[in-house]
Amino acid sequence: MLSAGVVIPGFFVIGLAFIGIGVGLLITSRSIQVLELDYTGTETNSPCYKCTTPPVQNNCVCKLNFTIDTLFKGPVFFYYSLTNYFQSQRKYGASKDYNQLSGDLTYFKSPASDCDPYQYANGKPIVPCGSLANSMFNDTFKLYQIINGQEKLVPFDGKGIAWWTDYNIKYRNPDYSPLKNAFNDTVKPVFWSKAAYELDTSDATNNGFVNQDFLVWMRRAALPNFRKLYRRITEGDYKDGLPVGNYSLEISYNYPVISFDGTKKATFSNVSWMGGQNEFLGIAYLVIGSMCVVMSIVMLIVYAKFRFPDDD
Amino acid sequence: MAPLQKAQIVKMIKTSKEHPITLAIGDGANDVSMILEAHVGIGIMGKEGRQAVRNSDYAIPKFKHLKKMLLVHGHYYYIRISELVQYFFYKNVCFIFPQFLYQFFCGFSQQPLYDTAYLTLYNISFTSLPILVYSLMEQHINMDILKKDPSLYKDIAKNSLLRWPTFIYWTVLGVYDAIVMFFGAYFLFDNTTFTSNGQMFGNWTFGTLVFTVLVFTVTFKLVLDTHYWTWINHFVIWGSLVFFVLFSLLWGGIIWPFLNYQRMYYVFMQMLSSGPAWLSIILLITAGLLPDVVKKVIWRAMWPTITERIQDADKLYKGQLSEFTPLASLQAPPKAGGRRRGSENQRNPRRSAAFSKKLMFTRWQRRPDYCTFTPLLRLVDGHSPHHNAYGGAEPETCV
Repeated sequence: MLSAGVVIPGFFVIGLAFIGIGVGLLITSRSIQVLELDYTGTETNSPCYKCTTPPVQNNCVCKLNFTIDTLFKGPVFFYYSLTNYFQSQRKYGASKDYNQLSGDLTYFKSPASDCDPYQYANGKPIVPCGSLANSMFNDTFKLYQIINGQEKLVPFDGKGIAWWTDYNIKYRNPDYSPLKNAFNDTVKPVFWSKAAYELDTSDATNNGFVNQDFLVWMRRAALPNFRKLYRRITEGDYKDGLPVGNYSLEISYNYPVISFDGTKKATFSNVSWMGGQNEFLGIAYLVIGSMCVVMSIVMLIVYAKFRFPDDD
Repeated sequence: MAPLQKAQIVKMIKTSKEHPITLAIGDGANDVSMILEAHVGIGIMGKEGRQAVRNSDYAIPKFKHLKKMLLVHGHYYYIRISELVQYFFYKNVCFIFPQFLYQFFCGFSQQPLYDTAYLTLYNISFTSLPILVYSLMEQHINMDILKKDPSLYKDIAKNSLLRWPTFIYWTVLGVYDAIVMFFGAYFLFDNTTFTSNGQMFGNWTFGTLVFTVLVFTVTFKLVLDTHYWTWINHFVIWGSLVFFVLFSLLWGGIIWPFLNYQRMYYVFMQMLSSGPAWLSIILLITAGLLPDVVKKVIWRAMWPTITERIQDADKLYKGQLSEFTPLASLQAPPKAGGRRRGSENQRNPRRSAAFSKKLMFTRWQRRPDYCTFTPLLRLVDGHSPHHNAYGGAEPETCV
């Protein structure tokens, strides 16, 4: 099967195809714009430093100013990034109760033991239980463009940031109206400031367990440095992107990361058919493609030399 | 000779300096001791009764059957079992090493990379049948060539396929494939999205991506190693891959009520809906198989074993090689000119013409059947026309 007559031209063709794909991927990746703003606040000159020094206030608000030099093409995606954060840790990630989250009221009264130690608080069951839900990211962001000294709010779109199947099928609110009554005799998770039924009081389709931010958080990240989608900028004056100018990101700094040497970043990115900016795939294709071409030439030389040393 | 004396002779050979593997063959009751003493004991169903047969490892009706048993069946079994053993270690190294690597990225908390269904079914359903069929049916060289050229046995002498160098090669290949798979997926996931709607994937998608590349890579490795293709090989190999895909779609497509977690729900489909995921699967499979293919082709060209030369010649002449082809002409030492070696070069008719002067070709007639029953596996596929030319040369499991 591995005759040289098949392998050598095959390698050559594959190599060329891979090089072509690699070039295409690299070009696409290079055209993606990314803007990352670290707002952990560890340096004294950082605007968010005041939120990290004791005494730590609640609802500390800090503002990050930045400028955009070229049009940031839309639709613009806004992510928050965390580093050194092991959502992939086994006990942490397994600490949740799927039955609660699919709206089964019997588990509101007796949460699964996986949720330990966030199973009961003050004798009452926690809903939603578990460490994964408990540690939900609770910084909020508002973006303003500064035009003539005036702040103009950039509208954020929070729909469709979680998987469609998570939102519509996997996670379900209990069948109760009003939703608040389903949570009688339960308590909210220890680290949360609002209960689950108050996550978005303005929109009933975004409240409770189907809250998009909650769903995004519950999808465990694979690696310790990760990014999660927060909002999209798609509407109004900004549907073509963020125009050149000065901007101010107002952050409600609630989430503590400094104790474990983590960092927090706000990231703007646009997205192509291949996703965000990732040069790895393009470079890998180029490398493997060129290796295939080189190998086919080497094999051809070896084959010619050792199979047909002299012609008659 | 007395039975004890025969056994003592065998013992003496066994304990000699080279510690060879010994075979004793006999048909009478006085041969029983030596049959038991030797590593492999063969009994002939003879006029003197069935004593020898009862105590032997293998029994044959006539002495002449020893030839085929050693040169064909013994050779096949060795090839098959050595590949089975090496391949099993290899595919499990590929399976577990990424899980090990993942521990560095999950706080060493024993978080599995793959879902439990994948962990359970990998060795049972996704990768078991292809190697099973290989180890039952592989014929690296045609039976008749093996019978007429005993020197082919030299290639496997002294347990050569199960020695340390070969095992280390397979293990290093497994580790390399595992590193390619894991870090390929790692850099793809590197802190960015690879969907066109900006959504992020989670840890189960990561594991599923690695697992998909894994199953396809190890199966294609077996495809590259298989010489003798029947419809059964095709069925189990492509069938295993199709089964993996269908199982994944089914497993993630339904909220299974007996599970108390739904972590795999829709994960496989989400992974497949991303263009870069497809591209990286293709890339990682190719990158994993590349070194082995290159090594095989270069080694075959530069340092071909007798077996490989016969395989090339057989393929070149597409079954025209017969019992009367002097194979000595095919076993030229490596440094000799290329013209005496069988090669796939059909671009150079002059060289083939020079070759054919030294060979005689006969069209093969149907050979008498040694089988006393029709073997179950007497199946010929369209991919090996040269076996058709031999008539009775389908895989025979009987003697």
